[in-house]
Amino acid sequence: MRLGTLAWFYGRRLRVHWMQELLAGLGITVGVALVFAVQVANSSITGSAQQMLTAIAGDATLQIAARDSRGFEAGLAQRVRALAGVAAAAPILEERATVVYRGRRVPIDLVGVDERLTGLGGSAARSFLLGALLGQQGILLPASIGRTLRLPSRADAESAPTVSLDVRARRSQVRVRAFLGEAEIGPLANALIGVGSLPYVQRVTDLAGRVTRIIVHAKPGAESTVRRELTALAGDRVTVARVDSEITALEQAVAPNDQATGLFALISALVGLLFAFNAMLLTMPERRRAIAELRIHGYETGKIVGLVAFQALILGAVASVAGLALGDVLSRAAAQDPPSYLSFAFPLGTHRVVPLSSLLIAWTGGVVVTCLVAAVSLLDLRSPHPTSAISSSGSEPGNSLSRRVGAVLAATAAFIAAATTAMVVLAPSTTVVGLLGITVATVLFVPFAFRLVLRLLDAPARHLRMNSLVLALRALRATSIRSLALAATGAVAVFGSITIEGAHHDLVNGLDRNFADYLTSGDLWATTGGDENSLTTQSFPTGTALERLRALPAVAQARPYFGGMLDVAGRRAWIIGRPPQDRDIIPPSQLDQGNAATAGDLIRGGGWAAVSRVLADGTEPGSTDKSRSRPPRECAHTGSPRRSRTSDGDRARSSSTRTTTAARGSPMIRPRSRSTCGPAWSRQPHAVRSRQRWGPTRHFASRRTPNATGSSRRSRGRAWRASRRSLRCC
Amino acid sequence: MTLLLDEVVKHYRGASETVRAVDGVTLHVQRGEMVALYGPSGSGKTTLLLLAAGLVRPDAGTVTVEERDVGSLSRRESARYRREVIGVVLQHSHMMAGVSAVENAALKLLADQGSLMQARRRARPWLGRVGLDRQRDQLPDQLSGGERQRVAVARALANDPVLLLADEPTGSLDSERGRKVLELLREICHERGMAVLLATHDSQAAEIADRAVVLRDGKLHERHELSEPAQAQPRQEAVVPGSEGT
Repeated sequence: MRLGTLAWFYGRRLRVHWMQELLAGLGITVGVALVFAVQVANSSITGSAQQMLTAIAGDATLQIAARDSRGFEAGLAQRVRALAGVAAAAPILEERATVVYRGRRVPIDLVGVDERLTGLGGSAARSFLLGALLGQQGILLPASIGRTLRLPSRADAESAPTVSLDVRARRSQVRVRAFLGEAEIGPLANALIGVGSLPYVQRVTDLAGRVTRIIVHAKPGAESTVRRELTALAGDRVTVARVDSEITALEQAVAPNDQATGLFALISALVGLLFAFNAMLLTMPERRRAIAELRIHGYETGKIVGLVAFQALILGAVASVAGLALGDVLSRAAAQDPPSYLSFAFPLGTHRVVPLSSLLIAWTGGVVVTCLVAAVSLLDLRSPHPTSAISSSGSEPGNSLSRRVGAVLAATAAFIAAATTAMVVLAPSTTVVGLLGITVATVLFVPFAFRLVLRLLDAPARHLRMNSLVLALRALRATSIRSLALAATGAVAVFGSITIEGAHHDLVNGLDRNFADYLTSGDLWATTGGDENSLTTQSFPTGTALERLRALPAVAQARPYFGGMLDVAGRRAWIIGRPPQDRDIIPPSQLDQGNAATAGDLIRGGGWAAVSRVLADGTEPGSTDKSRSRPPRECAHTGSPRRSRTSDGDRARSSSTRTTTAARGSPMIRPRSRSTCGPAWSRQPHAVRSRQRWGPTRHFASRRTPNATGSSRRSRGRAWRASRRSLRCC
Repeated sequence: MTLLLDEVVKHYRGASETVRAVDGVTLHVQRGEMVALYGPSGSGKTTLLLLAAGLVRPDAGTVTVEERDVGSLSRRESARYRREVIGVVLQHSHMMAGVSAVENAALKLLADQGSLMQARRRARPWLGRVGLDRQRDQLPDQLSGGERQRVAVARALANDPVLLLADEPTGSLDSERGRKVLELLREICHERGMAVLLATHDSQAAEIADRAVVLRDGKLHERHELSEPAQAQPRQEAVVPGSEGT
């Protein structure tokens, strides 16, 4: 058949059934948009990180990385460069920092570089270097950050704007010497990053002579040799790894997010598909009659299939393109807001990465699904009764579903549900796959449930002479497939919303409980940073602050905590160092296996750690990662993922991520003068309640602090407010 | 001989029983002859027509149209046979929505590589022949039931078939309109030398045919000559009615 004839047929169809086609297209569009947006959002997280890495590290394959933010001696870089197999090596100092300008804050990764970076061949290196040289007494920011902070657009030597830079509990006034756009630094233009010369960054971070990473470009064929030499050179205080090990850890960390969003997208796509199916079913009787008529008048099967496929292809292609456009908009919003739990642990870019594969998968998926839905009308071509679609018999043609088919589908649904349940019980990590199985089972069970409900209603309706109900039931039977499709759409939508909302609720509750357990050991917390440091992983030197805090009249105790990130067994672990004075080293709610009291005693004694289940599973004896990173000995597992608890003495004796104070019941606290606490200090006091609000879930969890038992609520409140005032003075 | 059914048998196997829809039927229909297949609902009339149309295959016996064994045709050949050799009119002939009367009449012609314009040009005289020339651009929902049925007749005739199979073509029309449609069919049958097999349960409709046969429970019970078959005329293969003026 001619292409023009096919187009003519579809044009005539659109003339009459434009609304149904529009609705069907809408369903496909929504499904494609969600799948595409989720794919892009997910791939952007690791993709942007990969682009950032490539822009900086270029051809380098190895790195020496510090295990905490204090870094290691910069002199190691000279010894690395001296190795025979090393083509280039560049030291870098990275610190989490916050740029503040007129009340607006942007958390960044502050990076200090020197001229050796250009030897790696990264696309951004030259701009970095130029910028670093230009910014000997200042920093460079991507243009996107400048826009966010609403900094003056021109930044030159004469009119460089000054911003506050909070890093390691120090606030410095720094000048922004230049804004870098995509032309200069490519994908890094959208990254939350700030660049300065290595000496300058060392100065503002109070880490003179130290770096956190040396990126190494090995000569061709010498990588394994260089790696061995680096390991020998570095000893066991720093980590030698592939330069992209951070990407691997990020992929691990992103996996649960990918699974959850993927499940959401699939369920949404299924609802979209059912929606499209419903819209197509509205015209299915007419379409089937037309197919029967064409068959009778001598159209070959291939021509009929071609006709239906052409219409489905056009609809699917157009709807999928619209879906890609909508998905693009959605993914832009999603890319600007990566999962907050990742931003605590990884430097994330906001650059959107749109892989061609995502584009093709979403578009092709939309077209294929449209063709599949449209293919239902072709089933008649196999029918031994070619005119059955034309001669109606009580119900609309093609709208009946036999009892046998309903029973088979119900049995299949029961089997899938049972198999899925067994699978999830035996292997909880397959929950996401299990949810998909349950979704399919729900759809398959609908015909049986539908028939059952009709039968249950039919008898009383007839007995009670409820004529309207009898008519309604008859109408439902006459359009069984359409009714089933509607019911299935509703069932999947309800199932999906309950599943997703339930999972979200469980996650939020779990995180809130964990976070509340974590925070309620003190009334007030002094930490650096704001929301960006909710997990208190940015450490800072306490100096004499602890003593000064303890000296405050309203303060009963002030204890240092340590928090940080450490790569263990290919994962980035949250390290929590609690003071021995804490009542619970391991909150009972987080205990998965082992004895909390024994574990707490062992950890207080030093040399022991409690690790999360997932971390324990990944660091079995014999694991090379374990021996390489030498994690503390294990004595208990906690339920929360990627979390490790040690005594703070194990991890940080000179640094602390925060201090907590427990207020006395007395309201008699006098603020001390600012001068007694030293220079302006960006450390911020936060009440437990407000910090809970900042938590990863941003939910407010109301809990009374155990440290304040015995004091009245009013006096506690007064002491709390007074302590806040006192801490602010520091 | 245009249509020859020889000891044709067709069974439908259901879940609990096998229905003998056509049970050893032998029937001849000649050129220029209109034969009524008369019988109650469920007697096997439609199945017999579907057998003649090559839409179902006989379990036994042969169906021959113009020396062609219809039962042995492949699916592709069967489709081509329906498109080029025969015409079919059903009781509830379906008009494609959004498609004008003349385009519906030209539907069969579009299956080939011909253009829409050519198909319309070929179908239009037939639409005039059934008295719908003025309504040619109207959409199905603008036509009455009788007019729609006449469009279906025009569509069946558009390929100038040698055999027309009509299954209750007047079943959804009132008696007056139904009679007009049947008379039109007989007229064309005689005029074109076309064989017509008309399935009906209406005795009055059967009387319009040249000959009627009674089908009950899948078996041909009796024959009833209602009138002499028209004199078989030489078939005007290439001439389409009204084409003189086009």
